[in-house]
Amino acid sequence: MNMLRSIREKKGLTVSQLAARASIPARVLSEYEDGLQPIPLPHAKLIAKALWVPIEDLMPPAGSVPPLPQQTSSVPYQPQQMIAVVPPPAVQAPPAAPSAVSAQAMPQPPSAISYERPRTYGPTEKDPKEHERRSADNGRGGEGRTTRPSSRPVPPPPGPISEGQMEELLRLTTRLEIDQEQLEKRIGKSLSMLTKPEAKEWIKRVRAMADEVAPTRKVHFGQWPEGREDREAAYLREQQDANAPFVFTLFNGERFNGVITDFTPYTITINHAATGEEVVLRKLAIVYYRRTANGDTQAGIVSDTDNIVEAAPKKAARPRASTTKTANSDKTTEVAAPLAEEHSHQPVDTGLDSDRVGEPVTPEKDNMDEDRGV
Amino acid sequence: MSLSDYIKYLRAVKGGLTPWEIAEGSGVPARDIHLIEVKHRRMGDNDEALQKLAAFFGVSVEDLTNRREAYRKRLTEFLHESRESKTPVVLRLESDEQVNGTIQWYSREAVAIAPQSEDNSPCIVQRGWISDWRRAENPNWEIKPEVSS
Repeated sequence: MNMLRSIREKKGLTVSQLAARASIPARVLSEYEDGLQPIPLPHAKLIAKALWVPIEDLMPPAGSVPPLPQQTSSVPYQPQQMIAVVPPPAVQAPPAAPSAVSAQAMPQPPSAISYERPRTYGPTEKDPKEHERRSADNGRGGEGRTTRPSSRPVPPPPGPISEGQMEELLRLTTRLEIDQEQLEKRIGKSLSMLTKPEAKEWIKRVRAMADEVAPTRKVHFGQWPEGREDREAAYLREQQDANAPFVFTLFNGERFNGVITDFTPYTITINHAATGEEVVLRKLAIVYYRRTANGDTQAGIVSDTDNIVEAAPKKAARPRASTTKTANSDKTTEVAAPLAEEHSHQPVDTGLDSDRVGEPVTPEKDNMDEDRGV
Repeated sequence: MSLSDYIKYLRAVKGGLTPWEIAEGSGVPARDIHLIEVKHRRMGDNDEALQKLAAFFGVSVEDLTNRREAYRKRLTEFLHESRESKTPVVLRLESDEQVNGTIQWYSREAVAIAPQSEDNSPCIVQRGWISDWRRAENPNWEIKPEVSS
């Protein structure tokens, strides 16, 4: 029995369901099942995938006699040769060498895998004369090579190297800083003698060489690390895990030292070394920070800023830093003075809903006074 | 400090003004203010708008126009080159302090600069506070060469 049909029935599928799964027309499928058509390899793959079976299972069991084609088809049913992945043992083939008579009667078997395009549309019956013509051919020439349909044109021989390919090869040689002769020696023939596919292959190879030896200098802004990775966050995480003492310098010259306990893209929370309180520092207010030597967590101004070469006197007019200290008991107390006393607004970060801290207490004026009788 | 960082700073100093509030007070469209803040390339070509903003924030126009030249991308370019070539650099901060060393890494918001002598603890400088920069061997500052003396 046909393997395709038995597998399909075992899986409880109808022909049309399998057709939908394998995206092969149902009519073509039933032809395969009836043995009217050999299953070309691309279709065999699709069917095997749709049925969830290995492709070998689609082969009929060895020794079974393939059903004779009822209709004249261009290629006789030879399932093992059509979709065999491993060439099966020659059960069907007679032990004796094929005689001239059998060779005349049967067309030359096709190669192990049919490269013929799978048929999805069109009539099932082909020109019956084609069969005759082919077998006649075989009888005369005996060359084989009959699986390719005669309608398919023989691909033209590859043309010579194109202008653009030549240009690219020369450009690559300059990038590699070698001469054209050196490249030609490596290829084994002159550049102009190369064919198009050969040139394509060589361009690929030489480009890989050039990319390795002399990478291009071109820098794309979007590819710079600042756009891709947050190095600062990685550093902070590392230092947070290491429990390293840090000293933070704010823009008004204030210094905080302590251990980083948490950080966000906009803030760094430290455990203040002097008071043991948690202090949230705005990154906006931090100018720089650095790790101090281990054990040196003394409060106050740290003097070991060795790469600060000169420190100018602090401007007196600088407003104070905006810091919010959070005591360990979660009680938020604002200790820093407002950023700018001369303005009525409060600092940005006095609380979670700090957006509206500067809101006037008096209700807004409207034009409804007349209605109220004022 | 780039113009974008400076506008951010000024907004924060004034108590977290929104671009709309600034637009209302200064007459510069909120969209322009927003663009100046978010773009990394040189922004603020419109001198008239900068004058309005300076008047609104109560700072001098030079404050704004000088910072216009210190745009982010220029700093990024400098940082990238000096990190690749490992050349020692000097960064001047807004507080007129100077930090020197080689660039270890940089990201969107910060630069890690390590002193040449020991390489254990880099100084992480927030990019917003870098006012000027130069190569260590070059006495001229990139943004304002005349201030170098």
